[in-house]
Amino acid sequence: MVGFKNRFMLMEVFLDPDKDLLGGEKSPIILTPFNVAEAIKDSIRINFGECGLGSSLGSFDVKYVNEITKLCIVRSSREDHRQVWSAMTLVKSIGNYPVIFNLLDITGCVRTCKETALKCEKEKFEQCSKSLSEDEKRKHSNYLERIKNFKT
Amino acid sequence: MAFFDLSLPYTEPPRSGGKEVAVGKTLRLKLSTKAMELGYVGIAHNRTIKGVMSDKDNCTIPLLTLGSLIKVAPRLKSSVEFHRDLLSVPRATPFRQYTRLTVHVESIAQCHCLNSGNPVIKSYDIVAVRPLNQNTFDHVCEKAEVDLISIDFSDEKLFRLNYPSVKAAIQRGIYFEIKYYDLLKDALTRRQVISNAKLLVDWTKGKNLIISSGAPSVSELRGPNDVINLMFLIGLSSERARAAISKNCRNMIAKVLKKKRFHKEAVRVEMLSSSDSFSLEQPLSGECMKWDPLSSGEGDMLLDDLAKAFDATNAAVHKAIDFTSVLDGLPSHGFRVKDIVGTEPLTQPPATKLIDAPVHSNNQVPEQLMVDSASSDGNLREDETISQTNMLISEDVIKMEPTTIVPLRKCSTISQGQRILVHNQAAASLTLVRCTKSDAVSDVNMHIELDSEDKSLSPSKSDHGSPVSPVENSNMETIVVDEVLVEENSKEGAISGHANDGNYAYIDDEMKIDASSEANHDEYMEVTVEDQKHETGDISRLESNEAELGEGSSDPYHNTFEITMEDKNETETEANHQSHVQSSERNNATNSSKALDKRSRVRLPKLQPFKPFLLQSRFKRISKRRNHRRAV
Repeated sequence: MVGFKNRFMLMEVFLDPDKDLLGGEKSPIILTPFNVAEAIKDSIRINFGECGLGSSLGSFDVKYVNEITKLCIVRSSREDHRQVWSAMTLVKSIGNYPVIFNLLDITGCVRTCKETALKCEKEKFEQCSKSLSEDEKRKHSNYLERIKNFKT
Repeated sequence: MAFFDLSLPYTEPPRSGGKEVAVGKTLRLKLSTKAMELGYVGIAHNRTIKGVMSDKDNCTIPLLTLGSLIKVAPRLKSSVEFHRDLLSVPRATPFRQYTRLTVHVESIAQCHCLNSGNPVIKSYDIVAVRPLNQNTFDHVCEKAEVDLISIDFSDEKLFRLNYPSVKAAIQRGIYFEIKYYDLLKDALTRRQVISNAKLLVDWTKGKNLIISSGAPSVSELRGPNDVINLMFLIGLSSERARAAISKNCRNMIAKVLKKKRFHKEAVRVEMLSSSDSFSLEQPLSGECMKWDPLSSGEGDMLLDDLAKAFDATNAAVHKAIDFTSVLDGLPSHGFRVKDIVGTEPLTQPPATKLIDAPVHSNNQVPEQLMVDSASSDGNLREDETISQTNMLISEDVIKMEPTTIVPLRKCSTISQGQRILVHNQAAASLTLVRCTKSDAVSDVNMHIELDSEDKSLSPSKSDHGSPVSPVENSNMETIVVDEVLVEENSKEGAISGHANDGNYAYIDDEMKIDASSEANHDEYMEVTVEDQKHETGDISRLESNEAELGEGSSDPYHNTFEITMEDKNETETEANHQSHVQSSERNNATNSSKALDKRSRVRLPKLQPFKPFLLQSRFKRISKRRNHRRAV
């Protein structure tokens, strides 16, 4: 038995949903683990206060962000994952840029998380592959490598 | 699990037109596209009315078309499929649109407008009410005829909800709505909403609760999973929240549509298009039989069509079921016998009939109306009587009994001039049998079709619309018993030779008529004619027939034998004879097996009372053995 349990949430980010539907255009901001984490932490602080932030911060981490397909994986402890999740739902902007977080999948272990993430990456990439340059495609394959090597 | 979002705002475009119209339309398009993309399968365009209701407020919401959606988001299909797969919603689920009206009420006088007779309210699918003070809330919960109560929880001076009213509303089947847009707005309103809504959630316990977005812009829409989780903030467990966003919505829509589009919430009358050829030989095509309790009519969009529309890049709306008010098209007094009898004499030879058939079918088909049952998902709301007869018929029909019974009964009473009619009826009933055999999956609608047909065939039925009377039931049962008697007699070999011959003759005729596929129209015609006779109701005659039947359970058979024998001589040529013999052999086999079945069925109840006795004897034997052992 493992005493401490994590939850991995595979999220999808819609950047500026009002303007472009389905991410056809180039976005003015680049998603990074850092700005995603900042936005989520802010939201936790606003909604659940310092205590909520403190309790969830122990395990909270943005493990992976793909700026091309706009998928990200967020880790949280099992006790607080609903708090973190609802805080993410309540996020309205990263920086000053309006976004929507949408949960695709939630898993309890890394392996299944990897599998679903790869599957989703593939499908999302197919959706937006037409408008991508060579450079971005190379970047995307790097991201896929990163998922495959990804540990807790 | 299908998710719904039953309040996407719709703003009535200003009369003057101009730029705002376009803005409103694009916003609505964007909202619906996003909702569809996130995995919702149904949305409602919500129109809000404040103040006094007038004729201007009739439903004028234009439902969105596929073409417009495609224009906004060309890659919609793949994205929708991706999200639906993740939510485990079947890909083929159509995307549905409903119309909804929300009325803000401030005074009780306004509440009185909310009755079922109001034409403005009738024009919308869903009617919601937003009470603005304590009095109206109580009144709405207890009296108003609405489907949904939507409370503005973000209001700072919200009235106190009181438990008795909420309970009364739940008992009347009214749903409560919570909009999660309020939770997303800002910190202050979030606080208000959480504190106010918690009470309602507590009292309803997730029952009769619906969660919807109410999002004024696309960035306030959230995916179904996120919404479910968000409800954790107001103390709704995830199962209940899931039900609130999917199952409750579904139930409410089904209920509302039933109320709006059905006669007495049970019967739907639908017109067949004149181009469809209708015959009893082929069961009605799947489209007519499948009944979708949630269909929004023109608002349905299928994903496949989406792809097609994208390929063709032109607008094409798929109509699942056409809900144009068919009730208006119904003749007020049903059918008249004269019209049909006049056009087609009964004794017309088959050859000429064939020529006439297409013309007649063209005349008839538009008038042919299908009575469909409003079977909800679980078939729970069916009439007990109907289900009983269904049971009977489904049992009987499989064993081909109606085919033999109906003609026998008819022949005993109806004069010779109408014999052809009887044959055709028999054929019709045989085709019905085939239907049930082919559709082993017992479709309820199918059965009810059968039911109505049988009603029209059996003389005991006088009124078409009324539920099946218990007399009918008992009749059927007695006939079954008679049949058994006949069978057993035949085994014993007294009158039986004749009896069997008679039966076979009938079956044969049926076969013959079936074989000629062109005769279908004629059969159909005949059945309708018979139908109308019942409609006009020569009740006294029918009743007398019934009395005759009741009196002589054995006598009619003799009559029929004679008639049928003559029949055979008249109608059958020698060329037919060989095939007739073959088929009769086949029938013989089936009949004997049937008889065996019945015997076993008859014996069973006799055996049962002996059971304890048998057991006792066994018990005795065992005890004896034991005694032996002891003795040894």
